[in-house]
This record gives sequence, C-alpha cells and structure tokens, in this order.
Amino acid sequence: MTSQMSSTRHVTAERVSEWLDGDISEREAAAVRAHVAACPTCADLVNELRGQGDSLRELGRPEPPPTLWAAIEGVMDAEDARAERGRWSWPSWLAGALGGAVTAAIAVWLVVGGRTATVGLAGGAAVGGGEGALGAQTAGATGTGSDPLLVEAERELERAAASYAKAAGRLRAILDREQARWDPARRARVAERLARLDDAIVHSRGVAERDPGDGASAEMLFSAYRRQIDFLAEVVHRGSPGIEEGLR
Amino acid sequence: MAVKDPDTRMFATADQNPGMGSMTLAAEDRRNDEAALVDAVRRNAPGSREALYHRFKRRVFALAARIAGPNEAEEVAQEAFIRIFRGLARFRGDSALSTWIYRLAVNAALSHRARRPPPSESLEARVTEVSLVEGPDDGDAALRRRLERGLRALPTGYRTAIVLHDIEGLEHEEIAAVLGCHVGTSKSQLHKARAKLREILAEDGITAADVGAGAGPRRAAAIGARQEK
Repeated sequence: MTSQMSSTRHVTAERVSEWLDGDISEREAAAVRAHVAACPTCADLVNELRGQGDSLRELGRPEPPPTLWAAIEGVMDAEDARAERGRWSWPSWLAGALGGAVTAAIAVWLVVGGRTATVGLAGGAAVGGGEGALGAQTAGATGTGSDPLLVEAERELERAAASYAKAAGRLRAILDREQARWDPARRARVAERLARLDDAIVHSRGVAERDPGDGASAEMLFSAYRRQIDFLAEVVHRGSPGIEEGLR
Repeated sequence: MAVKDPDTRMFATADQNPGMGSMTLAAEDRRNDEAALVDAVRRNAPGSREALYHRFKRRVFALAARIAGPNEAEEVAQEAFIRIFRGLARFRGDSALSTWIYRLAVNAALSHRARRPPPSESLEARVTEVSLVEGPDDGDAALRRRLERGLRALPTGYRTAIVLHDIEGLEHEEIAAVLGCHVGTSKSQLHKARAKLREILAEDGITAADVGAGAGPRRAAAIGARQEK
C-alpha cells in the first residue's frame, strides 16, 4: 500500500475508487491525497472516475414498453381464474396429447440418460453425430450409429416432440379463429409473445440436435414446448367472455 | 463518488414521474405506505397490483435491461413481476419492500442470463442503442450509448454491483442483502467494476475529457465532432 502511494508510482483506478468512497483507512487516504496533489496524471484519473460516476448517474432508467403491464396482468388474471375454478380444465384431446408426450419424454430421458452414461464409459463419441434426435428419420443412419437403444430413444424423442407440436398446432388453430374478433393491439401482443416462444423452441431444438444424447437438452426443448402450450392454452381460455371482461 | 439517486427514495408514483423528487416521504411514512400497498395486493384489491407495478416498473425494467440485456428486458421484467406478485404472500417485511423487489428482479435477470447467454456484442449493441438510449443522436446520447455498451462488456458480477450502486443508488448494505453477499464483497466488486469500466471506455475512445467532472457541453461537442468525422 505505502509503496503504491510513493511519489514514483501512480495510484490504481481501483484504489482511487476506494479513496473517493471513503473505503480505506485515514492513513491510506492521506497517502492517496498527498500523491494525487502532486501528480497531474493521478489527478486526471480522479477527475475521470468522478466524471464516470456522474455519467452513470445521468443514464437514468429506460421506460418499459406499454405492453409490459398488459402481459403481466394477463398471466396474473389467468392464474386468478385458475385458482377460482380450483382446477385447470384442459380439453380432453389436449390432455391426451400432452400426457402421451410427457410419457414419451420421460421414457426418452431414462433411456437416453442411461445409455449416454454407458456410451461415455465405453469411451465412444457415438452420440455426437450431429443429425440429431429431431432430424429423426435419418437418426439411425447418422449420429447414433448402430446402437439400437439410442436409435429407439431418438425415435421416441421425435414422437414426443411431434405430440407437443400437434397439441400446439391445434391450439393455434383455435386461436386463429378466436383472435379474428380481437382488437389489433391484443393480436399484436399475442403474436409477439408467440414469436419469442417459437424462437425459444428453435433454439432448444438446435441444442438438442447438436447433442441428441443429452437428456438435459431434450428436457430444455420439452420445457420450451410446454411454455408455448401453456401460453396458447391461457390465451385461448382468456378468449371466453368472462375472462375477456376481466382484462378490460 | 457515492451516488444516491433520489428516485429510489420516493413515494408512490415516483417511478412514473421522476420529476417528483421533492415529494420525498419520511422513512416511517414510506414503510406504512408500502405495508398498506403490500396488504392491498395480498387481498387482491382492485388496482393494487397495477399500483405496485407502476411504482417499481422502471427500476425493475432498468435492472432487467442492464443485467440480462436489452433484448431480454421485457421478458425478464415480466418474469420478475410475476415472481413478485406470487411471492408477496411470503414477504415478511424483514427488509424494505424495494430491497426485496430488487432481489427478485436481480435473481430473475441473472437466472435468465444463465439460461440464455446474450447474443454477439455487435448485434446486442445495435439493439441497445435503439432501446435504452432515447433522444437525439448528439454527443451526450453517444456517450450514454457507449457507457451502456461498456457496462454490458463488464463481467456479470461487476456489472450487477455497479448498476445497483452507481446507477440505482443502493447502499452497500442493501446490495449485500439483494445479492446475498458480504458488504466487503459488494465494495470490492464495485471498485473493480469502476476500474474495469474505465479501461473499457478508454479502449472505446472515451477520454478523460469526455467523462471528466464538469465535462458537460465540452464532451458533447467533442463526441459530436468525432462522430462527424
């Protein structure tokens, strides 16, 4: 510390910051003060850090977009509505589709996870093939090689993903019919949110395809599908007159 | 250097109207007011959620934008407010409401960033310049854009500390409560962050004259002139 304050060595920016905030002892502060008084370079540094602080303070806070509250309110209203009903009433076809997808996903998780560990222990790199679980039809001939369990796991993964996509597709068809009656601003909010959810699915699918043996990647993809379906189900449900009234 | 933003000490609609800085309430009044608002939200009183949202929206959104990235800000702020409304039933008042809300907002931003790392700097920077800095493209706006870009280039821990202290105006004790760390860690991260930010700004061509104390119009003219070249 004292060597840092000698007349020949400049003060570091970190030390100047500590000094300006009073976070060093009085003895250390006196040494910094004396050095800064005699050193134009370090005096400039002090001014620079003070100015940097002033500039940061002036940054202020950006105004959130006007759609933010509507989005939050929508989610909370949907939660309130679910709580009032006591239980979410999924359409039977949606429950069936999701049930099948979840069952398949769990099976894939178990098979792929266990199998990956086995392959890893055997020293192979067979699961890193690159075509991936969701390029399914070609999986057997590419990334998974001839391992029959992994090939089967990838097929199950593909079937699970297809079930999710099918459920989402049916909800989207309902949404398309419903939102024809909505005002443009609400349609735009829903479209924007769906675009983000689609992006998340595309991103997760890319990760899963790069490493089809990674159960965590598969779970990330299914999680993205679930968020999309949750949102679609909420939006479709909110189209009912009672919930629509609550949004006003 | 210790920066205290009066906006964090304001009552009611302060988040909506930063110009109301003179309407600062005493700490006791503020606590009572916050307790009443929390109680109203818990009872699901009409309009109470929206009132709480408007009081904290700019603080939460700014944190989300600066910690998770401007492209993610809306999604993170939405997630943070949903956590806030869901969690209010468990809020015991051990800390100030604002500290508790900062904690949830920072956690939402950090977990989002961990799940989804930001895109390439160049892409994010372009979007940021549009979304975070408003107003004409004069020297001061250019400096603010570079500062925002410099903040984004900091390691996450440094960035969180400098945003909470130098921009949001929190004390180190509050930052320690928000981040769940020691006061000494908060101070250490802040001083390292300031030094690192200075380096980053220097690499970006921001000089002492641009940010130096009292630079004001001088830096505006200097940055404006460099932009024209």
